[in-house]
Amino acid sequence: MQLCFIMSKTATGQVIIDRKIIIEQGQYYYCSIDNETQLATLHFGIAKQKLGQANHKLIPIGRAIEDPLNPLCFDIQHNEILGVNWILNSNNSRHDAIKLIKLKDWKPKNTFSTEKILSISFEQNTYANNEPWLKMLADTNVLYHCFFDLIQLKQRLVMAVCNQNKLRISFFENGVWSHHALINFEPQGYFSLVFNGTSLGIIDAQGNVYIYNEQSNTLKNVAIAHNTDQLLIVDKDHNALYTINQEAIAAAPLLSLYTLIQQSAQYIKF
Amino acid sequence: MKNICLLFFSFCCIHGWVQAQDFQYNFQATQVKFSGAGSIAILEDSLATVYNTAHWRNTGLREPAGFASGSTMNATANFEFNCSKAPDSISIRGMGNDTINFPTKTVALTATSGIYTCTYPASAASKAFPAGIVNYYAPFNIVWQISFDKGMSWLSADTTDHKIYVTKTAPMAQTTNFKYFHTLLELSCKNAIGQTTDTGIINKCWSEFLDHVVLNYKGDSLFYYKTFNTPYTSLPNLLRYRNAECYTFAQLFLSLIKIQGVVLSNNYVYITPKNDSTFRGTAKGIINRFLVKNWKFGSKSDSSACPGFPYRNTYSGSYVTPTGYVFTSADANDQIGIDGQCNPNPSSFFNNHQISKIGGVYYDACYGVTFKALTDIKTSAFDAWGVSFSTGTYNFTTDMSKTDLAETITTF
Repeated sequence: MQLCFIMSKTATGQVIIDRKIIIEQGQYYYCSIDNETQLATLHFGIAKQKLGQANHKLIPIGRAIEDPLNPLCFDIQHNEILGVNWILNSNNSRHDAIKLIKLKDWKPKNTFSTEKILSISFEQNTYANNEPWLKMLADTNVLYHCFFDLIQLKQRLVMAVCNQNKLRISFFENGVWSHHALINFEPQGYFSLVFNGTSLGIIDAQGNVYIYNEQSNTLKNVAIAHNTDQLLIVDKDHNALYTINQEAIAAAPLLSLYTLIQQSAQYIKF
Repeated sequence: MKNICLLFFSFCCIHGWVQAQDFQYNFQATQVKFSGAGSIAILEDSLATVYNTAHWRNTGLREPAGFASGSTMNATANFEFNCSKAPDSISIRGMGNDTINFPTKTVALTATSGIYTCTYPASAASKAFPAGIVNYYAPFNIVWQISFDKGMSWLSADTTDHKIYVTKTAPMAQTTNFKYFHTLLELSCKNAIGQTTDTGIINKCWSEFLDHVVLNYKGDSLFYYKTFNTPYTSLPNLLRYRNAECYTFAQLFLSLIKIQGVVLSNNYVYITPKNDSTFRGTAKGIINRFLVKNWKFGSKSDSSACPGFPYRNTYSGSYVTPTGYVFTSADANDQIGIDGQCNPNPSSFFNNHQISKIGGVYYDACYGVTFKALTDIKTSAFDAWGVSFSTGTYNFTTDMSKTDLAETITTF
């Protein structure tokens, strides 16, 4: 199986974007997932240029195709992608799943097979041991409504794992994990960690917005962003957060992402 | 009209040919379709699309039908025959297996260039499939009979043959990886025919895996690691590519049960070595690989630096190729080992493995074996634990007491 860009698409050929679009330093980034190989394709471009001009390349990270859906966990910072390589494969270790890919150094050759990319994804160095996952398993090894996500806040990695409606937020800094106590949380489907410049928050798949108080280790429901499954747009340049329909992006190849945000996105204040 | 009917009284039938002294009418079914409240929308394996045309055509098309037990199927059929002169209408009925028959219907004839056609309207069978029992009709034959005298006398006109699956109850709801694939119904109903209990169904479905030969509905092999580096880990991909990893065989076994409507929870188990740390000098590693039998161990290249994991294999880039493992240097070498499904020498160097768990018993569908306890797996199926202290190197120990397996349980 030679390397090719088979991306998740709808019946009409629209690329399905996983979880979120990130804007950083004037560039946008988003990922789609190959439904057979589980590998991610990174799409990227200039946020003020037409969306139809996006570039893309296969990256050595991905996620499982299973129920319940937990979209690709990733963040972009300084042209590096940090993510959880949650590809189901007998050679992929969940313990070693947190990976950092330097995008400028990652140049997949056209001769690479899918199997080669998968192998690279498993063998690449681990950024941090997946302690939050192991911590969750220490609580219970029975998964039910299990979801997780991570984001990078400068030198600090934040990861949240929720299983059986118990959420734990963990922080990785200076090579060491610190884990907060479990708190009750009942997300409606998968959730995403977000940061608005001052506060950490969580938005679940149904648009319920929660603000996290690190001092008291509590979550407070503060808003409802939308009622249906939508994408997040994380504008790191302006510390702004939006939701938008998948279809709105597909229908606007001649617009820039900035223009599309003005026309079709919903701003989330929290 | 009466004259024509009288002529037909003397007909006899041989496979659709209705004959008189001087006349011969080729009466044949052209299409049969089934429907009904308990019908199952079966998907073709490789295309993952629902069979949605007819279930039978005289052109050779045969598509399966599925029903939940206790439901009643409807049938509609089309017929044609040639005749110089025919009545305005005839009566048609169908006689099926197990006296599941289709009632008499009087249908109008339509003539076009000497060819008469008629449609047997969608009609419920005379009785439902017996409730609570799995059935497998291969074939389900319907002998279609016609009458020209309003049912006074009947002539056998044509026989249509069908594949019909009857599940114990309605299948569980479809998910991303569990769908009503043709092969699931074929394997499940064929193995569990006559079963009325969940336990009976589970045991009979499990028997599919015991001889290490699992075939799809066409009779093609479903391979456990036909290639050592197959990327496929979902049931739809196993059925499409017939070459997949352990995940898929665990899913296949559980799907054979789910398709019968049997509800099981906490049945899908991911096993991997416990994350125990070990050391090679100053380097720390986590035991995160295991070797499934059989591996041959030679010299202990690392016995001084790492006595706990003395066997060392090195590789450049990737050690897995489509046909086997390729190491730069190797103290441990893969041998023919435990038979996998349709493959006497599948991959055997893993971080994790997927099995099923029902009633406290671990079912490993990849190899067709069961285990009463998690610890039995390492002692009976594994040759070594592995750890990587640096890129391009794995160290192994045959001391299986070094660690144990940990299980993560979900519901498939």
